[in-house]
Amino acid sequence: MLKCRNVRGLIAASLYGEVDEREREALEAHLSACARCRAEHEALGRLKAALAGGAPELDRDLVPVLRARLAEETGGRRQETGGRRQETGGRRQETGGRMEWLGWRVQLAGALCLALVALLVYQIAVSTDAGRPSDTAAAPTEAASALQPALQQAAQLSAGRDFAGAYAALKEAVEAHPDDGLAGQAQARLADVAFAELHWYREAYEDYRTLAGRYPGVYANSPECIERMDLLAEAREKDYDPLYRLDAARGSREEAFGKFEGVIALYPGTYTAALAAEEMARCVVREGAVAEGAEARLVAMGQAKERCTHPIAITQLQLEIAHLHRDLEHNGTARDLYQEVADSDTMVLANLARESLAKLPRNSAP
Amino acid sequence: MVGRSVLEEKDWAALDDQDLALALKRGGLGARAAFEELVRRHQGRVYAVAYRLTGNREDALDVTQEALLKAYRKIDAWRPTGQFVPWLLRVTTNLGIDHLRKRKRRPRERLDEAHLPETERAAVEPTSLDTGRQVRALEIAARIRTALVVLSEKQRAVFVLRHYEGLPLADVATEMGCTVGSVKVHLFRALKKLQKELADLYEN
Repeated sequence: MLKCRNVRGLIAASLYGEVDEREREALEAHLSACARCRAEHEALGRLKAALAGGAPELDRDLVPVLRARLAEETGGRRQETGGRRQETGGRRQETGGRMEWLGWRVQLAGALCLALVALLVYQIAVSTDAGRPSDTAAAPTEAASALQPALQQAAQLSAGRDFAGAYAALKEAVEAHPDDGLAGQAQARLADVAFAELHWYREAYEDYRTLAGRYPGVYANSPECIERMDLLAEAREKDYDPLYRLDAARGSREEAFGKFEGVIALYPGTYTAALAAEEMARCVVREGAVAEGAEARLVAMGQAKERCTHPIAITQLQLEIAHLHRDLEHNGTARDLYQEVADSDTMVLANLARESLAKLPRNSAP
Repeated sequence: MVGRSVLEEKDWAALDDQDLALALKRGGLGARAAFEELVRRHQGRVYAVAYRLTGNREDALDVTQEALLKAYRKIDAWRPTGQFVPWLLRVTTNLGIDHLRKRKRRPRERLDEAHLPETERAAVEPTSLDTGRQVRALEIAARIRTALVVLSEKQRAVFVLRHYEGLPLADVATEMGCTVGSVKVHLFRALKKLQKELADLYEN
């Protein structure tokens, strides 16, 4: 029979119904023979019953609050690191590594490809006020808003694919009624149209800046806006050339792969380069060469790398693959790959790889 | 479809917690959206743990927010070999206990009725018809919170995750990186300590 000290864990587990048949029999045999443990079992049972108790339900959604807090943090971090940017010249070193920055990046691939879906949402938002929250607590109702006709007109123009017309209508209306309850939403939409439909990146950058400055509540509540702003701010340093090249690569069906490679070779270590690498893996996926899942993503990125010819693109994809291995906890493989990138000639990528190496757990399984 | 979470149109709501947590950990495109979906799913549960530890809505909301933000910032510390939710709840438990400790170090706030949180004040000034039962429940809840501080970190984590969160002991063991056998022993010791601390409350 089990000794008393060996029964304690079973007593606790049995109170929560977590003993199997064999354990239950052993416990019962012990309890029937040991008055002290039996009393213990009963007393703890009473305790457990007394400890029962519910908690009230959460009466709000914390997503907007957390979003705003995270937006505040990155705003602060960007200011803090402004000085370092000039010293290092490297885009991602500023804030201490890829993970941190990528977390904030726009879901550009999806955003651009889903322009039509966005348009639909846009129209629904206009008709139901289900879009971004207004900046003012007591926002006027739609009927009372001076911007409502402009929003409707813009929706109609967008539906007819006259995005330039929609942009102009929204711009004019917001400038005429900057304090209207719907002005923040209209500003966000015109920036979105400039970015995703018209690909007027210069205008989009200014429009998102206006949004952040004049309607901070709307801005902070939209991760897309924040991420697009980050992407635009980076591309702006090169006069938006990275984004135009990315667009051109997306538009060229036959030579897309090579063009994405070219974007990476020109701008290694940037958001745009990481987006281009994702697009290259996407090319492989489209050809139906791989299946679903994290491991398969690794395969796709690997195949994309095999097809690369430019040494910088190869190194960038090597880095992406190392990240994937790290995420799958293949730390030994990740370490080897990072080391290769760290030894490469592309300074910005080598630095990123060293940062990742430093963060990799030491006692890791291969 | 490869890398659905990154490369393609994403239906975050269709992914399971583990996939979302991986997308967050990967830090790639959409990490933020994955995080938000995880928040939507689990904020209520995190709040419940925080509430049981802090005993009032205001502090529980603070702890909930801090726990979720910590999960976002420290996702590198989560190991995909374990489940995400137990890890998140453990982060919450630790923050809740820190919060209790800080409160304990400020005894005046606890003694001064004017500063008592809503629920504890209610225990002093019952107003509803169901007062007897309510007051007793509040009293027990407050006593449990005090008693939880006495437990070791492991005992507390095991107790909160199993007793309040209903996580199977096997999951608790995975989360804590120990055997189910030792989790059972931690649970037993936690119950014994609580029994000692709270004997006067429930034995009468």
